[in-house]
Amino acid sequence: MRVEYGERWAVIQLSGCSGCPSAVFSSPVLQDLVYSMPVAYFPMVTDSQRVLSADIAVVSGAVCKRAEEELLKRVRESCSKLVALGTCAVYGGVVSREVESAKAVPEVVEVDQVIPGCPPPEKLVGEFLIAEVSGGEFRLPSYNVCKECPRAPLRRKPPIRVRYLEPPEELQAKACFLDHETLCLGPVTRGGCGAVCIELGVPCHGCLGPPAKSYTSQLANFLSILDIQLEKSKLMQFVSRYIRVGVL
Amino acid sequence: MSVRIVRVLTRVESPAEVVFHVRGEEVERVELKPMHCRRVEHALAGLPAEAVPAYVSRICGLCPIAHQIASSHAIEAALGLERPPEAALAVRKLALLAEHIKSHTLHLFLHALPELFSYAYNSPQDVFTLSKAEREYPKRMGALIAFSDRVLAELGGRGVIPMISAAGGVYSRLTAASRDKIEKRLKQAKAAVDWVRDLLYSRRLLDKAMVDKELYDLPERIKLVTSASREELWGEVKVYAAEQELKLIPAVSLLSEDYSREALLTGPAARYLARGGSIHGVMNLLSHIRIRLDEVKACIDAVEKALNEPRLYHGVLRERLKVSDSQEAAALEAPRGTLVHYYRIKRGAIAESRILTPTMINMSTMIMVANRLVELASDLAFPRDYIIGKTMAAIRLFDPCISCLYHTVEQL
Repeated sequence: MRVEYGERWAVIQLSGCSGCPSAVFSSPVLQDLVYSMPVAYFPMVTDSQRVLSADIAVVSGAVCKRAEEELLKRVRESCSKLVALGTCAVYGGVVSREVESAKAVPEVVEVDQVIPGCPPPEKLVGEFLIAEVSGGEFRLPSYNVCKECPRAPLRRKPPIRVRYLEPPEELQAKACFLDHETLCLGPVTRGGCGAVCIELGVPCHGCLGPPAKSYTSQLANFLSILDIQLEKSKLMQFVSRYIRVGVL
Repeated sequence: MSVRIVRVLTRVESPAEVVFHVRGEEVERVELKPMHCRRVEHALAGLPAEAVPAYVSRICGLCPIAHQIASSHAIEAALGLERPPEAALAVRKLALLAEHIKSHTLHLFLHALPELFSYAYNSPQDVFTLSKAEREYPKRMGALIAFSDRVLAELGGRGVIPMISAAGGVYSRLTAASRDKIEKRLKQAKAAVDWVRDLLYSRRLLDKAMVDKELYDLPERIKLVTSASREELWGEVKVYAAEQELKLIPAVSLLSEDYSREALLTGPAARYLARGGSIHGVMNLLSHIRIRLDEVKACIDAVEKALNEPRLYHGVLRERLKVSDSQEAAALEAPRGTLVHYYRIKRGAIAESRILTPTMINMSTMIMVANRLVELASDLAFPRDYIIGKTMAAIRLFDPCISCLYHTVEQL
């Protein structure tokens, strides 16, 4: 479905940190675009009291309360296109670690587009908005974080031994984290973030989710080629930092 | 019989419900109820201590750095690191200054200034209507955000939830090239502050706003306050710490020296006391705008000065922490006020945590102000809808960070 420029937008916040909706004000390029869009509902910055009909609804945050679920269903009925923005909306994110009953938006209603990330990369949000206002097509990257990684490609052959979740102190080199026995979810995580965390020396925690549909099966395949020498609880803490294993 | 009128509190960082208890035409009292929920402390249990700063930065997308730094300091203290590397302290301070600029800018332009413009235009205003009517409005807001985001992105890879502070230090240092990129945006950021200042004193805004003189009287010169001379500024934080038997470590302070005990408290609590602790001072809604603008200016000047600090460009970034069983708390000046993080660590993982956010501290004062407004307006026989509108304005101008408020449902 393609929505033409000039159609009305609704921005809905569910349980989350407000980082995703505030991200649209963080880029001067996005700002020019955002200010020219007719906004039907955006309680963070306008005085709208309830969602009226809109053409595109952008939803951030996870569903934790019954009232949020009811709101989301009303939004789905009244808006022709629904976009889940950010990892909490797309996969449950950090909120699903905190509230056991928390649901991702696609677990409650049908979504037309997802833009994951914690926070969603400015580049992807920008490409999505430009596609919407110009009538173009937006597609999430289908490659993984390794394609954007500034470090050298993995040299080891499976089984790859993994002993660390934090890179060892001496690891400032530009080699792949996995070559240094440090777990990194880059191989099973969608690209588009510019590998910002890896650039700073932090292994990927997978906040953009899998390039393909199933996180759990991709993760299981990846873990099967590793020789993991870590406590199971610590491993699970790491791989479910942003996405609950089993979701979607 | 008293009835409840529920309104969604809009133009805040996450919507909340305001409940007005009304008898006839008279509003009797006001309550604030968050609409969402989080259980951050619940999720922290069992997490490796070194993973905490990145996690807690997801409490609030508007003040992630404050959460990162406060948690880093508490964990470092618990695990025996008395003082992080000098480069780390300098980077943290620079990042916190940038976060204050960004947080205050968003508050001013998205939440607070439309309140004043609604008088000038005789109709409710927001950032979208103003961006069409006032061509400079989005441009000036953009200049301030571009400046603060550039600082954050150069230090932490991106402007929104950047990765800057870790337990033991920081991830990255500033480079000469980064400094040049930041300095290029300095002039426009300063010009944006001057533009807002001129706007605040302009006749077209003030003449209209002064209809509500009680609420919009222009404040006299604002004095920034340090907790060194005003022990009582710690107020509820100290009470909380005593209840929890916590020893507080003042962490990085903004305009005073790192790690000194002269922490400058910001946010509504400090603003309240800076104006002599009078309820009138808090209720003067324009004073909140004016003081935040002064803080933005002070932070921009501090960033400019900090860019010349050699510590930012050299030295060790991070110390490896030893695994031990201990507990500690740290306090920090976040954009909305004082932030406290407490952790008990057992075998390198979080056994217990408590996070006291500025909005939780400000909550009681906000409700007090809202109820005082209701009393005042009722005494003057203002219409019910007017009281409701002004009460909502008071809360959003005072502290709009509702995300920080409901980071844990268990404390509400």
